[in-house]
Order: sequence, then structure tokens, then C-alpha cells
Amino acid sequence: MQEIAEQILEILKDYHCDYSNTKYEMSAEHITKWANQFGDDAALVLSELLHFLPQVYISKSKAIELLKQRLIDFQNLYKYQTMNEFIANTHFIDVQKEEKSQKEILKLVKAIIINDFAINYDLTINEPKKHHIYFDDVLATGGTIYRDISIWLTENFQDVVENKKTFALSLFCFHQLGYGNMKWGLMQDEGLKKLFDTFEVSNNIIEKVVQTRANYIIENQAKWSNQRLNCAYPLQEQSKDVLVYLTNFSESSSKVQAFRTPNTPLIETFFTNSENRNKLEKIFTEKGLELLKKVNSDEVDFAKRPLGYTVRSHKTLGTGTLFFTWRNISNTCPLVFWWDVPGHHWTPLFCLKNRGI
Amino acid sequence: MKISERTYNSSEVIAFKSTKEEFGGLSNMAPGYSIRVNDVIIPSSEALYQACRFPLFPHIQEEIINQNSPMTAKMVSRKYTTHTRQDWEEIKYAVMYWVLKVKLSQNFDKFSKVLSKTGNTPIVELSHKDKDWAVIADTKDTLKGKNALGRLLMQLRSEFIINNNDIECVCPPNINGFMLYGSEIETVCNPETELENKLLFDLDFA
Repeated sequence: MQEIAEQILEILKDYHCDYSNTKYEMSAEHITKWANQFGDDAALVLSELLHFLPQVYISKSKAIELLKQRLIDFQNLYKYQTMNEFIANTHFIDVQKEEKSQKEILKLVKAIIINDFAINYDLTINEPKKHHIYFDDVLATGGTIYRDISIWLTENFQDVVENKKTFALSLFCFHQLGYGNMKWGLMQDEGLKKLFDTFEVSNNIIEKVVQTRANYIIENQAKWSNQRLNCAYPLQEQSKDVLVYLTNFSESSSKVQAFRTPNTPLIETFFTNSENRNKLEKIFTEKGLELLKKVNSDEVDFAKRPLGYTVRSHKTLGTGTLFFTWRNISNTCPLVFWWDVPGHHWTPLFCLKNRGI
Repeated sequence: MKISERTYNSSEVIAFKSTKEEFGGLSNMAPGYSIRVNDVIIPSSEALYQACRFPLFPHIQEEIINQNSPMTAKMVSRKYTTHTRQDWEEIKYAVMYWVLKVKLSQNFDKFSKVLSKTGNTPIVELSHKDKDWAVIADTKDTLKGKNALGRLLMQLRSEFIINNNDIECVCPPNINGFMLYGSEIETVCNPETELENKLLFDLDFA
């Protein structure tokens, strides 16, 4: 186990490297301590984590590399000969609050532009710009990005239709289900629908207008047979406790599947094999529920689920995100990764930083 | 569902052919009537109808749905005619009626307006050669064909516009193996209600 913990440390060593107040320093001892909380399953948890982590952990240096490439991709997309011309015509949308991921990603983007291209973005910030780019790290349920894009599009719709402005979304990762919901939400947005009518365009314009670029897709659309299900999405064979817990949530017409269909994914490409997937999902679910039960409150927090925050109306065990970045852990990841409540006797693998409101 | 050929007096019908005309919204090729079934966003009712021919071939369905134009979606479908489900001829009208109900449920304001505008007048789709779904010119003053699409549109108008029946949600037809991307097609509902009831997402996190 020590060896595996050290290999995991090699991947996670820069977690919270920008954050001096982190409560738990990432170390082999810390990783082992976290794993030991799973008792007999500790070795399985660590070996599976080591298996999928290289695909799903974005270190700060990796983030810089990906963002630099993204800038070059956008420069090519918009057909600029030089990065200078592209940046002079580009605005980075900056609407999220201080503690949110967008601000931190923008800091990196601006640093890349200075260090690699010798351009000071801030000098051209007040110039009129054609291209507008919304950076974020992960789109999970799609709510935040839907809201922000809907506001931007409403304010700029005429310019977009007349091709005076473009919009692009840059992400490290999106969840297939949340991305579809975000797009459908924009196509059906009351305010935008009025604009589609005014400017006599079809709502399919959203497909063309929102140019999305992402490095990784979490294929969590359990209704589609072609999905990798590269996340925690358990089978129905769960303990009585878990099944009883689910009865807290009413059947909604959103019809998001609580459980993955047996024998899916058709080919296992994320965990080491399907048997270990089944075991690990069960372990994370049961441990997550155990942690939730420690909350001393009569009121159920409908967003908080064993496998991570999710949409309140969805009758599921959580989003089950298995994607991590150096800067902070998403609350849509299974609770076992980040739960840190005094008196609950649980040490999270990833220390939690204030996410803001 | 069996439909027999009829003759229409061309001066007494509302006819549509091009999607750009006044009643173009009645066509399955009309843009701006997106549909979402089993969480798949489908750009036109034509693409949905064509995808239903191939329930056992999700990759063909995906190829059809990924086409931007409904005409291209139909052409992709034609490439795979041999993969069409065996009972297609028996069920195709029932499938089309379901497609039209979904189009109305998910685009109620816009589609109900076009349907209402037709009043009580017979609706026909004009074609040069399709006597099954549409009508073709017969004599100088008459049109002839099964006019299946027009008749299904009239049925839709009667059921949900004239008689004002609820079309908030639409159940799938009673057809075995009615699948999209590998799963049985489920009931679909009006997206405005989905948004209002926060069934897609919450707006305060993630």
C-alpha cells in the first residue's frame, strides 16, 4: 500500500499548491490514512484510484499546458495570424465571484499570455472586442454556466446574430448530462426564445453560437448505450440502507436514472475491470451515506448526496464526479473525497477550500 | 393504422411545401422546432422520425440526429434502408403521430399558432411524387394522395387545438422496442415546465 500511496502522491503532489492554509498536506502518509478508513477495502480503493487518477487529475502545470494550447486553438478557430491580433480582439468574460474557479483560471491565462506571448491582456481590456471567451474548470450540472451564458447572450444577441461578436466556452471537463441540460436550457430560455423570434432565427443557433472546447468529457448519460460512465454511477444492487435513503427523494419527471443499467458500460475503460467498478461504487456510496447520516439535522439537504452534490429534483445518489484539479475539489465528487466536518471522524483525501457562495 | 387515397379540391385546402411559406412550420423539415427525447437534443421532427426506423442501431440514430439539416438527416437514413425495423410499414403512421405530438408539446406556443391558423380547413402537404405522405397534382383543380402527414396534422389539430386536450407530456406509443440510443423511449414533457420546476439544474451551485 505504501508504494501505491507514493505513486498516487506523485500525481497529486501539487494539490492546493497555491493555497497556504491547506489543512492536510498531501503526503503518502495522508493518502494511506485516508485509505485506511475503508478498512479491508483500503488496498482496492488505492489501486483503483491509482488506475484512473492519471486520466482525471489536472495538475497546475498540466492546466497551464492545456490553457496555452486552448489559446492557440482559439486563435486558429478565429483565423488570426498572430496571438497578438487574436488577444487584441478577445475579451475574457469575468463574471464569477472571487472564490470561484473562473477567477483563478483567468489569472493563469493572463500569465500564459505574458510569459509565452509577451502580451499584456490588461492593456487592451477597454478596447471593443469581437471574441468573448468564458473559461471555467468543470461543468457539472450546468446550472452556473447556463445562467451566465443566458445573461451574456441576452445582452449581446443582436451582435451575435450580426456576427459582430462570438462566444466560446473553454473547460477542462464537462459532464455529458449537465452539458445537454445547459444547452437545452438555453434553447428553451424564456428571454432567449423571444430574441429567437425577434431576430427570426431558430433555437438551433445555440449549437453554432456556443463554441465549446473541453479536454475531457464525463460520459454520465446513463440512458445512452455508448457512454463510458467514467464516473461513480452504481448498480441497483445496493444495501437496504442506500435504497431506503433514496426514498427521501420524490420521483420527478426529469427521469435521471438513479442506477446505471446492468452490463454498462459495454466496455470498461475507466476502472481496472467491471467487478472492481461495482465494488468501488458500492464502497463510495455506503461510506458517503454513513457520513451524511452523521449530520445532526432534521432537515434533509436535498442537494447533498453520498456520491456528491447534485440537482435537488434528481432522484439519484449524487453526481459521482471523478475528476480533480490542483486548485480545489468539486462538491459533485463523492463525499469520501472531501467530507471534513468536526466530530465526524473522517479525514478527506482532498482538503476543501472555501468555494464561496 | 391504415390510410387510403383521397382527392382534394386545391382551392379548398391549406397546402404547404416549402418551410419558408406561411404554413411552413407544419413541415417536418421546418427549423426552430427542436425536440428532446431521452435527453437527446434533436434538431427537427424529421430527424426524430427517421431515427425511429433504426431502434437497434444507435450509431445510425446518432448519425441521423447529428445532421444539421433535416434533408441531410433523411438522406443519411436512406443509406441504411436495409437496417429499417421489420414492422416499419405497419407502425410508421403511429410513430409519425407520436413525433407530431412531441413537436407540439415541446414547441407549444409556436406550433399551436400555426395549427390554429389553419382553422378547420383541410391540410395537405404538396409533393411532386410522394402520394403516401403528401398529395400530388391530379387535374388542374384537384390534388390526389394519401396525404398521411396532412391527415395526422388535422388529427393533432382536432385533438389538441380544437378540443384543447392537455399535451403537457407525451407517452411513447405502444410499440415494442421503441428505442433511442439503446434505451426505451420515455414520456417527454414541455421543457418550459421542466425549467420552471428546476428539473434540469439548480441555479445556486455547480
